[in-house]
Amino acid sequence: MRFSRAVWYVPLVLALVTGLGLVLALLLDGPVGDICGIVGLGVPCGVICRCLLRATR
Amino acid sequence: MTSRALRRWRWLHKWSSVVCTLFLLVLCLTGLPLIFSAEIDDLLDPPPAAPVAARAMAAHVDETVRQAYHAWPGQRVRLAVFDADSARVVLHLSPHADDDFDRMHELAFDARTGALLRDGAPAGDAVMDTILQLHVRLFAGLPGELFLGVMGLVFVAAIVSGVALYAPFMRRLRFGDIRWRRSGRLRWLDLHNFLGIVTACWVLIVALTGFMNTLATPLFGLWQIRDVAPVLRPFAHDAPVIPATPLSAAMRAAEEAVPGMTTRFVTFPSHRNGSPDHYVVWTQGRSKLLSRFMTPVLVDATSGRIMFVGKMPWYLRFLEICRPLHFGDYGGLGLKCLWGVLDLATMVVLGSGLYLLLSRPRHPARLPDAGAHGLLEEEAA
Repeated sequence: MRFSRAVWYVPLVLALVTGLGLVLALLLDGPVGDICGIVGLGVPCGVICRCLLRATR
Repeated sequence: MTSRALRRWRWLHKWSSVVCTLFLLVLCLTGLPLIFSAEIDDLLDPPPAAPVAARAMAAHVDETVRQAYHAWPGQRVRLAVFDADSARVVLHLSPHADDDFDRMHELAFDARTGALLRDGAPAGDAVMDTILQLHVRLFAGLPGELFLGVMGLVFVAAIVSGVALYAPFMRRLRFGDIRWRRSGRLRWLDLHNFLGIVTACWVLIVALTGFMNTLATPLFGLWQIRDVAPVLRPFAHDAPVIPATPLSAAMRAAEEAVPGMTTRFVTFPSHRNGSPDHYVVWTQGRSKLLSRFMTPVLVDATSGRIMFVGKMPWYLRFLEICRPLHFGDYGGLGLKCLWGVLDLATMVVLGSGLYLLLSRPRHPARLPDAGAHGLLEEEAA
């Protein structure tokens, strides 16, 4: 069974953003670190909201 | 992926999930209030003032100790905790210096004035403590902690196998497609796959760091046996002394011994997690990352001299890095809210997985294709 690589693009980007955001939030002091954390988890949360809204419409 | 490999991944995902799902649901449920424990504590026991500088915490500390001895004559101060964010000094007392920690009670003082704020635990403390005990050790002590560690590893296997199965199940769908108008089983399968893959990285981080946290007790025990016990051996048979050196002087001496660090908490002379002749001043760094790194300093409770500066081994430093990545308490309220949202999403993934397992057709042999791709064919139908 062969699968297109494209199926992994979005999950990989999401994992990268999440991991990087959480680590930078820990390493950087002040609001810059806080923003990194919010972006890191905000992107997957935003994707969840968007896809659920799209699906229920 | 070959059919055989697919079958193996499915077997691993199914059984690892069966083993850990109920425990993970308990952990997600109890973890939700724990994410906001600082906010809940502040709500139940409002801080007296705005945060104060860490250095200002020692200003009235000797006065608070005097007040504690005056309020509870004959008792021993066991622990002093300094919370600069809520401008509070909390002292824990017990009848004897070597009593169990569950026999201690606490007094909270205003760090700016030294005034007594309350005598006893804050309202709601017992509820949060019960939730914490359930989350950390299932009310079963160290065996409970280690059991949850094993469940954490099983959960990691479920996540990895779930990610491996993502592509076969998504081959005919766009990312994020959920077939709401199809059968309930397909709808929940799509939701399970979608939420599972979006939260996979976060869940993996929380699961692995949670597993590390379950090893905290044995790792600290190992460090105490290897590095601390030889230093404390000459004092092992001494009775716990009543400190002659003021607490503020011990804190000052410790902070001079480890520049750039401030005192987080101090244990008074005791055989339990300390020394009968010394204060143990636990210091932390000032930056976000270094504030997680604790360095203990032993200060002679009689002479006020530095006796030992503990060097934490790599495995404890690694544990200290893992903790914030599990608690989500290092990026303000915004990060905590998002942490909570992903915790809820994980509960949906676990619940939908349980539903998919329980709603499987009872007679799979009657399906058109009941082989390795049974679910895939059903999904594609």
